[in-house]
Amino acid sequence: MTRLQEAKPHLQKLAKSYVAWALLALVGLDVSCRIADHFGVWPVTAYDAAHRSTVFWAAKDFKEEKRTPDITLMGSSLMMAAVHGGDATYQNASQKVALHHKSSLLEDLLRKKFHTDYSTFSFSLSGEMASDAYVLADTLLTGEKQPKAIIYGIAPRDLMDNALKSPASTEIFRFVSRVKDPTDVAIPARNTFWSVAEYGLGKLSFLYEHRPDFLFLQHDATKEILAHLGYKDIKDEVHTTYEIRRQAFIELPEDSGPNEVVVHPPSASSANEYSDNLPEYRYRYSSFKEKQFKEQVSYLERFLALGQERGIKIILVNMPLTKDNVDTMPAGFYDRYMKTIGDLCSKHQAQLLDLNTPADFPKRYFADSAHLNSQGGERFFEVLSERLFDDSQVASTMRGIK
Amino acid sequence: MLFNSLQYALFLPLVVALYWLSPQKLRVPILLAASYLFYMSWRPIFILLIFGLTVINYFFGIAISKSENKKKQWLIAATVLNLSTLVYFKYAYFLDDVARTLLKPVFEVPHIPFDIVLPLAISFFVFEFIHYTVDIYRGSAPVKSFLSFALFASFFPTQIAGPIKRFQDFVPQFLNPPKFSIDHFDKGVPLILLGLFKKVLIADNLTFFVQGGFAHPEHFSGLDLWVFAYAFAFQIYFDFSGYTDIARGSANLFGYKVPINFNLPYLASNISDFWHRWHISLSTWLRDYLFIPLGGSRGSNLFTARNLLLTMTLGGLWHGAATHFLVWGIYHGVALVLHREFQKIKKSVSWLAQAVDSLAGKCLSVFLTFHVVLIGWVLFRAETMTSATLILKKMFTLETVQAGAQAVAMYLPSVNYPLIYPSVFLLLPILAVSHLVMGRLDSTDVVKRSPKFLKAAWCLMLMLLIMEFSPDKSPRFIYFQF
Repeated sequence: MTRLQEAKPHLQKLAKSYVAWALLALVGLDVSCRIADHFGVWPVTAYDAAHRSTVFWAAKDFKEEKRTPDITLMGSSLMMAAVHGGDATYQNASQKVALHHKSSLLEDLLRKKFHTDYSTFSFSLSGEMASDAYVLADTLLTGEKQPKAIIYGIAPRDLMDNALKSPASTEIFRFVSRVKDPTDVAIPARNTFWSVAEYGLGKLSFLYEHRPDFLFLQHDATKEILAHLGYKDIKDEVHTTYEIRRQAFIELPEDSGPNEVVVHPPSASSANEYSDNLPEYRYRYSSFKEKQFKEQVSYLERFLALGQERGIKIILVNMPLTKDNVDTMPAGFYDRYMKTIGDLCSKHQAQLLDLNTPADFPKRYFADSAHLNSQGGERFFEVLSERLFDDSQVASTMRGIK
Repeated sequence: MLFNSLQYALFLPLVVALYWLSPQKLRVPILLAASYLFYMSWRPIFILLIFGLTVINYFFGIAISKSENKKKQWLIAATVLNLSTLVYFKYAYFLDDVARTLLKPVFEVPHIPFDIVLPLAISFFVFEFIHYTVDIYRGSAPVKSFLSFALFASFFPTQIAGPIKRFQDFVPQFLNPPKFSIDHFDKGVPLILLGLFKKVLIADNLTFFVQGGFAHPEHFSGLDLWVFAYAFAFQIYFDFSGYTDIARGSANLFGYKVPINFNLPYLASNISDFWHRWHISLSTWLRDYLFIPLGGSRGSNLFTARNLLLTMTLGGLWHGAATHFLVWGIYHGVALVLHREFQKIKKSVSWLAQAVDSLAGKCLSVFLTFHVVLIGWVLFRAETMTSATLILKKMFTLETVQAGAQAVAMYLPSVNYPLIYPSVFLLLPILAVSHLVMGRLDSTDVVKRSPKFLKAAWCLMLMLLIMEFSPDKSPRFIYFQF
């Protein structure tokens, strides 16, 4: 009996197997959805997200912004705290982090210094690593939406953080990958075989790659049903005790309502509030990961090269930190970081402003060892605008923008 | 390697392909190698433990079987070794704590000076070894082939959380090896899909809800905590029965059968019935290797009650070295004793028997049994005994909670994110109804007789749901910790 004859009954059974039919139907459905997407009839866009992370709010706002901002502010929560705290103090009004994406304070300070109107947009997002800054710039800050300048507030943590699994593991990277797959870094940004395999599976199957779309549709439908059942604000505001939210965040992706994170102007009660977050930073810096540092430096270089190539002026700002925070870093890390960013700026004709100057930022301007408080935010932009104006090279760049 | 991971999604088809493409004599060794690889994917060093215990129990089996007059000594040696391994890894810290508390006035018991890591699945494979040696002592023939015995103890689909197998049912399947058939896939794949659906779509989503309530009972009212308890009842059922379905489905792909572990437990009409439907392989193990050896029900009422209490207390402790598991076991022991007494009263009071056996009586019995089990789940799930006491107190006093300026009977309806919080009010009734519907379907052969295209559509729907809605971070199966 030949092999074919042996296999014949099995093949006949296979043709009758309902699991085989289901698999075949799944493949057919996958192909159909890919075709639908190709012809633009897929009902979900990358800006529709089930979980509303800080990058979701910023990207949505940026997309809806009619004019292209002259200056984009980038950086991690260090810059984010300064932007929101600065405006909260300057305008004496609370700022909703999810909805406020510009620095009115910087715009006004620049107007006074340079007698020119500069518009700003803040893409400073919590946890933003150098790799995130690169993918954001590469995918979102392009074409009509390309800014004339980027002020990137950087700190050592943005290049080495023990809490980071891989560049592709951040919410920013994930969100941006939905808008446009950063193909040049898609595989190198994943550092385990399984994360690369998962990425490959996504490339192979449209349905798998578009899981966030289905999750969005499911959330949307659920919200619709719940709204009919009388849940108020189910589509927008969040009414949940913080402890419960925090409990959920241990397992669920980053998600915040527009009313959840609010930065208030300074008050008598908040003036001396300082929380000790050094244990967190000790963990972040606990062991120096050479490979990660080099990897993030390479992303920073890509970011600077991208600016150079596209004619975007990049001003790197070394963010203020407390001495306590710098002291928790591994020996030699801070100096190496400063030298690295200095060398890269020279190489790619970017400008570097060092604002980690304790004389300008005494401890009273900090909310913890790394983040500025509301008054610190105001102080930051005052010092920044002075430095932008006083440094002749940077000032010339600023004037060249307009 | 979790069943609900990409690793398993690649591992399983690879092993299945290798298994069926290999000559028959290589299939058991291939499965054994795959099972050891599966175990090593967690902490490779513990392969020495499972392999070591396998070798020792294999020889104990032979010794018990061949010995003329030292059978009992060999059995005691085997049991002591198996139990001391379990006690060392699982209960050392607990016993150390208990000893320190009890002996504090007279003697300062030191803390255990080194870390003891609990090996995955130890409770399950140790129970299988005990069953093996005891049954040989009782007259069963030992397994001749070491490879078959090793595979019985380490078979990867059931390795981590059962079902606890019986070697007399399982090992003969190696001796009469199954032949390749597409039917194995038609049986196995839908079971795996159903298991994944239960786990990743139902249990995992409920986890996000349940942990909020059990971690912060102080934020919620008595009524809220009832909802959390209901949610946990369904979470643990779908989590564990989902695991079992995946295990059974995976075994089916190789042509093997493993026992069922659940039979619609929340439709049980009394607590004894519940234990015939819940974690069946554990409850039958406890019956055969603990309750019966203790004397079972062959004695006075008090004697039987003692045996029931002891069995369930140890069964509770089997789940974990913590006071709340101990109390959970005692609670079920007491419930079983009370049920026994009730059965006697029922027999002697005819109107009571009629009332209980009527349709309304049966419905009430199911309702009451479910709630007795539910109270038990609070003890089981609470993080500490203090927390369990607080939750139960709030549940039974229907304590209100402060929301803003006023006291409210329920705080949950005002929580609107994460979405599972408001959705749970829709989800729980659906799950309860689906349990009833499943009970109805099980009593008919509707599923078996349904046309193939419907079965294919069912599979497709499960595939799509699992693919699209699996959470990125899926919590581990609850029973993995045991």
